[in-house]
Amino acid sequence: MLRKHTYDHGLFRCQRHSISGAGDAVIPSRHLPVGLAIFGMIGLWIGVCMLGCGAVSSGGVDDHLEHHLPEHKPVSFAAAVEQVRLRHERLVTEFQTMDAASVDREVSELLDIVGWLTELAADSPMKKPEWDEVNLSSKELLAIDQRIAAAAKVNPRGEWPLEANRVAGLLALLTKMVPFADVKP
Amino acid sequence: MFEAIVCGAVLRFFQSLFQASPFILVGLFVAGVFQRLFGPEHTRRMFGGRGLRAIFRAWAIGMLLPVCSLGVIPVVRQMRKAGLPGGTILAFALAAPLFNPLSLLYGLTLSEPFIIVAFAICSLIVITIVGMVWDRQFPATEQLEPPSAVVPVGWKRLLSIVVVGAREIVGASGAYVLIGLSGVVLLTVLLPQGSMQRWMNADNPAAPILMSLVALPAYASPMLAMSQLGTMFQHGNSVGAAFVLLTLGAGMNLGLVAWTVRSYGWKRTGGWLGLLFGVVLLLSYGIEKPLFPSHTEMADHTHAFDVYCCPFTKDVHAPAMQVFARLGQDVQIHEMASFLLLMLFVGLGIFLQWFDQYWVIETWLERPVAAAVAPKTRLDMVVPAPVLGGTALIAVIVVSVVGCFAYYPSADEVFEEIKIAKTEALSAAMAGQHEQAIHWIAVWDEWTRKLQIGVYLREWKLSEYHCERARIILEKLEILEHEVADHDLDEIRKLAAELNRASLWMKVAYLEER
Repeated sequence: MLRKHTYDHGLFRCQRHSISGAGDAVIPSRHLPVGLAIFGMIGLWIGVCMLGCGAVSSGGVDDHLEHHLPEHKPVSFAAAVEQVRLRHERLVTEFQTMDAASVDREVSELLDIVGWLTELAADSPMKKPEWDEVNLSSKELLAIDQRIAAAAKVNPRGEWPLEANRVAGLLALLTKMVPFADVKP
Repeated sequence: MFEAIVCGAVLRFFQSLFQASPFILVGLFVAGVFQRLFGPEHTRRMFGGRGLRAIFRAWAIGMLLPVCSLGVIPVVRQMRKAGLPGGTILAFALAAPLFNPLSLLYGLTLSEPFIIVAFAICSLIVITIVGMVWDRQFPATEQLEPPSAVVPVGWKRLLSIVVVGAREIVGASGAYVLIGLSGVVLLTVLLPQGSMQRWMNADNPAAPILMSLVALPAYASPMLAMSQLGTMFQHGNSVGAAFVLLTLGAGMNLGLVAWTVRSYGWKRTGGWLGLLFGVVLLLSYGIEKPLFPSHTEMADHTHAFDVYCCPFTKDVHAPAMQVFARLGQDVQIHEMASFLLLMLFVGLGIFLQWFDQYWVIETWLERPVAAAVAPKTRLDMVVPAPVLGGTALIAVIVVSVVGCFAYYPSADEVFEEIKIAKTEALSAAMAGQHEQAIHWIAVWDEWTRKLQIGVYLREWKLSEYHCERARIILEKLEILEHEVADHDLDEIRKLAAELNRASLWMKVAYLEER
């Protein structure tokens, strides 16, 4: 009995006729798709390689890539806490006499430094309970400083929500954590 | 120069092929299950016909199956043969490569979990819109082919699945896979080394558009795409571009486009691609600002996309040798094993094609066998093919979930690997062995990421403290990579000391402070 198998072998559909039973006879048909794809791909490779010569010859990355460390980034957790303390003091004493651009820069740098506290603490031998304290305190401090930053943006010389008592408390807590971040020589 | 490009293209081709091999094997297996165990009727029933429900089912099933955009090709071919509507098939084709249990775990731990969930929802929106429009515009795209004859129960039924896989890989699916991989070659040739390092910065409004141009020819396995997303969030790159990378980079490739053209014609494919790109780009610009991680500092460049560019410059020495060296270093054991198995399938497929002129194996497989004489017991029952097929699919999903535990080992095992990578990376960096150092830095980086996922997988939590400890290492490794490139020995020594200390603190944190 003549049976017709239809297989979708590639980009071409092909049919194979076979006689079922012992000693099936098969009329082979087209089996070219993979071969075509391979030859097509090699052709494409050669073509685009010719095109690409220009890209590589002109290429590479000429400009030097760097990971810039901001100048105001403190080198250690202790230095960061000291910076936060100093800058908060200046918020009270000096900032209101500065011009708007300077206030903006100072406040934005303060936010950066408060944001780096957890990172600098994690780059020290500080243990988890102390680090968790730093994390909580720095988050609260960041929220206060963000409120100050928002107020300073609206009115650089006006009343700012300094929350001096709470900030002093948080700074005292952070200062207590400094010895835990000491790198032993 | 020509040699550098050709060798670069060969390297990228094989890197992608090795990465894709496990997923292609899964795709071939699933295609075999669809054809031989489910058959057209049960395949249609599983996906639920047409409409919104079918598209959602396609998205959900696709999310669970561990296939990539190349591995999905044999599966969608079977779905088309089963007579499923185009909208459902294309929804599955797009959704399946985006996530799998391994990559989802990676994304939820190392990227921003909220953004990953948002991306998953956005991908559902994309495939729903595109699928619904397709089904409305082209309502009669179903093409039911005559079902294969039933294979008798027993080992013949299992062998028939292998035969389907072997025929597919040397047939149309293999051809489409090669077309898909040729996109990688195209990008390697057109993009010089490191040329994409600044394209995806968040302050570049064209980032999503640039990514959409690269993403279609690029091949990204679900794991690669997810690790690139993680790097993009870490570097404060464009969130819109990250979404385009996931949907078009991981979800599509040129082979899939070629299959769509072949199956549905140029006009329909053009319309579908246009709509897809339009919806993806609209969503990517829509989510750019709301999803941008607020705490991330914007870096001026990223190395995440170096894998799509030419790996060599014109000054490279003996690039052909470097191809072998890099493949030897990069290819992981499971990728090599899958590649060898895939080559076995190719060998079997070629043999069957040659042997067809004498004897067609399907004729034998489909020949009914005489009923067994021995009486059936309660435990020796005939399992219907669809039940066996359903069990096989569930087994694939279960294996991929269980595989997570092997892929992301426990912390103490990871620290053994980190110890090796650290020693190799730092000694190579100090000795000025650039290539060696870069390779081992990447290995160290990868194990540090796996460490976090392994802990999360076992404890279902990872504290901010532990994340920060690992992040410190990753940042220092990135700086070390730059210093190695600059041959700045003083900085390398300083960083080596810092990394040694940070690594010790991380080990204490992960092994003693959980």
